[in-house]
Formats: sequence, C-alpha cells, structure tokens
Amino acid sequence: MPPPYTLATSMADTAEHSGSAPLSLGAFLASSEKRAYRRALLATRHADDALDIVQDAMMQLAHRYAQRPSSEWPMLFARIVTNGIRDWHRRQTLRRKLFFWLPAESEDDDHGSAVEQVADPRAREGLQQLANGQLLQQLQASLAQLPARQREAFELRIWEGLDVRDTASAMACSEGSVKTHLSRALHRLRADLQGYWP
Amino acid sequence: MTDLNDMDLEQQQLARALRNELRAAEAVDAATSARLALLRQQALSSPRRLGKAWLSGIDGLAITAVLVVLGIVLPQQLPQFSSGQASDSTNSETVEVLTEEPEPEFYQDLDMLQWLAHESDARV
Repeated sequence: MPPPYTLATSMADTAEHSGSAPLSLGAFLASSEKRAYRRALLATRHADDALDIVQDAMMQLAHRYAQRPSSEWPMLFARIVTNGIRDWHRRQTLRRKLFFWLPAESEDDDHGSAVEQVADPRAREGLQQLANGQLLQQLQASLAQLPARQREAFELRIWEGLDVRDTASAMACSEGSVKTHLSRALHRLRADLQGYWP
Repeated sequence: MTDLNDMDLEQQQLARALRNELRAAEAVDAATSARLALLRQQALSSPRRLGKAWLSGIDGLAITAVLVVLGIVLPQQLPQFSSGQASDSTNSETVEVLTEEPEPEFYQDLDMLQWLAHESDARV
C-alpha cells in the first residue's frame, strides 16, 4: 500500500495537505495547478499557452498515472509540465525558423512587460507591504533569463520542492547535474537580486 | 519542507527565501482560477480524450505500417507474378504446339521426307 501523500514533496507544506489521509487526484491537481500555471506562464509569457500546457499535463497525469502511488504524483506532474514547457519552446523555435520573415513578437508589447503579466496583482499587492513588489518582479525577470536547464533545476528543486532524486528524474539527468545547475542558478540569482538582499 | 541540506548554509537561506517569495505569489485572478478548475474537471471526467488520441495514433501507425508493407511487398510480388504468368503461358503454348494437329502442308511434304529418309539409309 503506497504511503499517503505526505512525503517531503512540493505540497507537503501547503495547507491543503496538512492531513494524513491519502489525497485524491482531484485534490492534488487543485493544489498544484496554480503553481504549474505560474511556471508555464513564466516560461511562455502567454496565458493561453500556459493554460494549454497545464491542461495537457493534467490530462496526462489523470489518464496515464492516476493508478500510480500518490507520492509519485508531484514528481510526475512536475516532469510533465517541464516537458510541456520544453515542447512549447521547441515549437516556438521551429516556428521562428519556418516563418523567419515574420516579425518577432515583442515581449514588451501593448500587453505590458513579461514580468507584469506573470506577477499576479494580488501577489504584488501583498509583496508591496514587504518590499513594494520589487523583489518578486526582479526574481521573475531573472528566472526568465536563466538558461533552460538552470531554470528547470531551480523550479523543480526550489519552487516545486522536489528532492534531488526526483528532480533528476524529472529532468532526465544525474543528481550531480541537478546540483550543478541549481548551484549556478542560485549564484546567478543572488547576483541579480543583490540590491534586494541583505 | 523539502530537505535542502545538500546545499551550504548560505544557499539554503537564499533558496528558502526565494521559495517563499514565489509561493506567496502563486495566487491567480478569479477568471484564471475558474478556467483552471474547469480544465481540472475535464481532465478528471473525460477519460476519452487521451484514449482517442492514443487510438488515432494507433490507427495512424497501423495504416502507415500497412502502406509500408504494401510498398515493400508489392514491387517484389509483381515481377514474380508477371514472370509466373509468362512461364505459365510458355508452358501452355508448348503443350498446344505438341497437341495440335499438323497443318496440311506437313502431309504434302511427306513424300519428300520419306525420299530423304530412304536416301540417307541407302548411303549408310
């Protein structure tokens, strides 16, 4: 009998999972979907694309891995979202090559900057009480500029809260690579956020 | 909280602080939240979508496999079939030649053939 979903995973420290009863898949998705959407939005900077990635991830988890132990769902879901983001980037690259004569989409167009799209108004409002939202905006901008593998390592290990082994599995690399990518990501983030850090 | 003990203390502090910042900003607006809830319900209640995709993938694979097999087999089979036809027709023609009645000219030259045979016997 698989253990209930109370392992040291991404959701273990959230309010929805404070109980000891095994989670239903619906409850797991409900607790994970916003984070997945935020990750996808940070990567794609398009709300509809981000929703598509999350939808595909939920469909895959529900129809392929629902029978797996619930303790594996965080890693599986994070991996599916990560792969969805990678696929999205591949399609974008292919599209740019095929339609190279078309003007590139500006990241800072009429819809506002990418950071403004990513940052939720309510979250910004909350952070303004602490640091006027500057730290969060800078953090998201810095994350968006990280190399893909470093960003994946940071998102899975720090944001999602997976352990090193699950992160390595999700990224399809060795645990040593995860540590290397993460160390470089943190080093760069520290440098980028130096003005906001004590 | 996930164990971050594999990092040094400074990295742990930074990682925890950044995690708190990001998780505090995970809230989405009501419209997005409603859309996510709808997508979740669809994922949980419509087990056919991926099944259809899987099925269509299998269909496509099967069709492709059949076409490939036909593409490989037919070019090999057709010459064999035609050569088989040719050999069959050759055999049937041979049989027809052997079984058909001689033409009248054959009997007209029969006397000459007999004379030739007699001459050759006389020489021997």
